[in-house]
Amino acid sequence: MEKAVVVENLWKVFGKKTALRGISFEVRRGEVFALIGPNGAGKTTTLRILATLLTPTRGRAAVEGYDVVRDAAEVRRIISYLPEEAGAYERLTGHEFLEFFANLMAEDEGSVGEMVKRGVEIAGLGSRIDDRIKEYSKGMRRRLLLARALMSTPKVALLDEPTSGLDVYHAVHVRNVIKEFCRKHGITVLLSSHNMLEVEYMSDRIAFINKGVIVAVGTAEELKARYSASNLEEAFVRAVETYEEA
Amino acid sequence: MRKLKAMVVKELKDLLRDRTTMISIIVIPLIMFPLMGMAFAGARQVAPQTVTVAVLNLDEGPLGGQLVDYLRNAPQVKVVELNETAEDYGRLVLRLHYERGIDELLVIPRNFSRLAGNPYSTGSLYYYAYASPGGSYFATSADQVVESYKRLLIQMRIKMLNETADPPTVLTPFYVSYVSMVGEKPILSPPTIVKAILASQKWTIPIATMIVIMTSMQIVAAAVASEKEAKTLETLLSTPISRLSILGGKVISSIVIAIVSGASYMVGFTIYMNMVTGQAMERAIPPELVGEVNSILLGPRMMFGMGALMVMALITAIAIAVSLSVYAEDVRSAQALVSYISLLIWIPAMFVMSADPELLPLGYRLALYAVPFTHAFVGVNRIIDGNYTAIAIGVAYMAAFSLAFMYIAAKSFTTEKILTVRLRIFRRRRAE
Repeated sequence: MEKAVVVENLWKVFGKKTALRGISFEVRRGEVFALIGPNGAGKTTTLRILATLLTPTRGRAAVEGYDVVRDAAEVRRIISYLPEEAGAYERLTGHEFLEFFANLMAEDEGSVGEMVKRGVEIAGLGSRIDDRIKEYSKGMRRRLLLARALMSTPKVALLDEPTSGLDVYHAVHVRNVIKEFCRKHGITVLLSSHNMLEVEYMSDRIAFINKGVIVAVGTAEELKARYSASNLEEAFVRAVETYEEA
Repeated sequence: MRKLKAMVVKELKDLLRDRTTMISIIVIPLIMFPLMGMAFAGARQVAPQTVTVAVLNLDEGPLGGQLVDYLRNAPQVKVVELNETAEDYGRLVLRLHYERGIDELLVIPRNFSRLAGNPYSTGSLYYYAYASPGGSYFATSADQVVESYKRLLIQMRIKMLNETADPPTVLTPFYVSYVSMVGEKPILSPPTIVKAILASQKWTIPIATMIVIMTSMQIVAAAVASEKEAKTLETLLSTPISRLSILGGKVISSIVIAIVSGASYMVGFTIYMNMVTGQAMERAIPPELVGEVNSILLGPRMMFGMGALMVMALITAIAIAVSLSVYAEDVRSAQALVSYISLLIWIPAMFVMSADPELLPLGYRLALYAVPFTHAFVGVNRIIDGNYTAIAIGVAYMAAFSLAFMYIAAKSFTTEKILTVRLRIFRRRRAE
């Protein structure tokens, strides 16, 4: 199977703090791959490097064969990044927000309208799409932001904690969109989360990350079997313990 | 180009829909200045239109009575003759103020006619007034009527000395034909008056320039920092739009808003000036002369030169604001940083408004001209002088300054520092 994302021995140091300590993993084309770990594990830093926002201190990362440092402009054309605490332009309407980003993402003017139409469908906000964003609830904003991230049908979607802080209703909508829309359009998804149940439901493969190190990679079933655990949380704890003992 | 246009449209929508910004930079100047003018005009209307002057005429000759009649015939003056005398006229005027509401007292002494009516001697008058700090700015006084009467007596005394003399001719030994050159254009008026008109333009233009520059700096600083504060910057930077287009969109929209704001300030300010000082200006300086001088100042040469300097100063200010605000943690920090820079605008503007920089010692002059905005403020003088080399140097200097700061800003946008460095006023910290 072809690789959509390749990360090799990636390090990132911020002053005195080392966020990533030589992580390596691969994401196959069309799969949903999850990075799970506690806060400060290095999930966001990894996604930011892949989104070309940060440069690695050492190592290499590539998206669809494009190096994230050398070919940053090419990478930005084929990815879509949804930051964890992403905001939106409060004084624009939901529709105007999608239109603005469609203009930035679309290769030609003709595809802008189609992209916006797709975004409106993904967001599923009905007539509220024409309201100013400042009038949206947190869940509605997140749905709009997800729609923004997926409306361009990117080759790789980088989603940082896509359901963080959402109520059940909006969280279910977001999960279903990620699972169904991405599968339907063959979008490779690399997401981060610390919600193990959600990850088990959405992901094809999972990487456990802790203190800037990837301690295990596999499907949910493989990881549970490998660490004789009844659920992913248990598997994560045992994987971290095993790694630290070694 | 489509992406830049989308960026500009987004920025303009975002700015124009921000009611607080719009009210403070466009609506308030348009309303505030005319309201201030109306307040002044209202104060003028409610100010006492007539002044009551108490006269104690002790003169034994005819001139005292003539002066009282002269006062009675003057418009806006009401005369109340006193019969009582006093040892202390200061106390008398206080008593008149508190007991009868009369604030002015003219005392004509016994020997007034004898001394003032004789061309070989000088008489005296005593004028006492109660000056209240709470009084109206527009309150009138009868002292000018007394001065006018003095001029009448001078003519009378000349006639007494020589019956054949024509007092106005005696008082006018020669006429001066004044020609004041404004640039290459001659104005047939005394230099004091022409200079006064030019000076009023000299500060009007720096004020307008200063307002536009400072407003645009604040707008662009907020526009850049708000992307960080609203957490939209990461999303924006991960899209396939060039960093220069992001920067360009913010700069262009800020310039548009700043120009609208500057126009709003100037419209409001002009209304205010017309309401408050228009009448006084017309009395002191003939309006046609103001028009003649302004036609030179507002001619195509002047407008082109000032336009070039203004645009360059604006771009320089925005370049400085952008390069600083990319490192600010939030809008408040960005605007605080820009406020510190505004000293570079205030100092030369205030100096140019009040003095000629060319009169400074060399060291100070170089320091003043090192500030790019000085070149915009001294623009009027240089254009009037026809010193186009200095204007070109000023434009070139500001262009070099802008390019340097734009380069810094563009560089900042292409590195991760825009996300990782967060300035909070002057406290710097790094974050993941």
